Amino acid sequence: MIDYQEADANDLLTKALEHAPDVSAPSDFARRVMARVSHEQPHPALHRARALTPRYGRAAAYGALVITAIAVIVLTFHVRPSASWYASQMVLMAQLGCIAVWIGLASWRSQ
Amino acid sequence: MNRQVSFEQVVREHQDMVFRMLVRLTGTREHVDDLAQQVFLRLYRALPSFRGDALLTTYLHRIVVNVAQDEWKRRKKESDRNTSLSDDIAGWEQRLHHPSPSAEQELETRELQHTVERAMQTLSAIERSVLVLYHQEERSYQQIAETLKLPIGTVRTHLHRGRAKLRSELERWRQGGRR
Repeated sequence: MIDYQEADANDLLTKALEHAPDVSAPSDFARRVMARVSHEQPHPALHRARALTPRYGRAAAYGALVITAIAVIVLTFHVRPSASWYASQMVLMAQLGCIAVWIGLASWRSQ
Repeated sequence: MNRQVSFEQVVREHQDMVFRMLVRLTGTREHVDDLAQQVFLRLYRALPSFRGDALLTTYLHRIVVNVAQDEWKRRKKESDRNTSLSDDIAGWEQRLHHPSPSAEQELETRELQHTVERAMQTLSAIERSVLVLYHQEERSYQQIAETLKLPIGTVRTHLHRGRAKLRSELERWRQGGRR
């Protein structure tokens, strides 16, 4: 049974909480912040603030994926089948899988 | 790349959000400009250690919450919270847009907003932060957990408790206990 008074109170409360204050930054705010910031030491990592995801990591992952896949294919045709080759192949396949999972998780986290 | 221009773009992109959050978290417009400047200064100084493993907005929210908490502690010491609240909240409430043309309903809405704002200041800093991040900034539980460095379960608990406290305050107001 729905308690309509409870639902009404919840509704009112949610609306009040979602109603953001009608306030915005003054037009010269950014200029004043930059005036203060200009006295600070410049730092080399500012470009990272604009990145939503660590792209260098993802680029390295894609590169490793391609290299590992090529290595598996090339070696399959050029190495004589043996127990040690099969073991190496399994390791390479496992590495491929780990890289793929990492890329998937990184994409999911960046959303 | 011009680093100064990049950071200015970051400021312009997020300044309104910072102002809105600070007003709601501190319950007043007093010193908001100074507080907002502090937020961006802290962001600028912290950028060398920002590894991009979280969204910039998550990082910024964290700084806003910390600055607001510091301000809250400072104001608590001065114990002048109630006076400044009633002075400042009335100001922006004038600009409330409400679809109903009824003056009485508009007044009631304004009073309701005022009651909720006042009750928000009685919550703990964490409860207040969670409510603002969830309702006003529409962050998910996961994002709030990352911002405040809390487990998701704890975030839910704080949200639930904060809402329960505000609801009881609201009930008191509705039953005629207006102050």
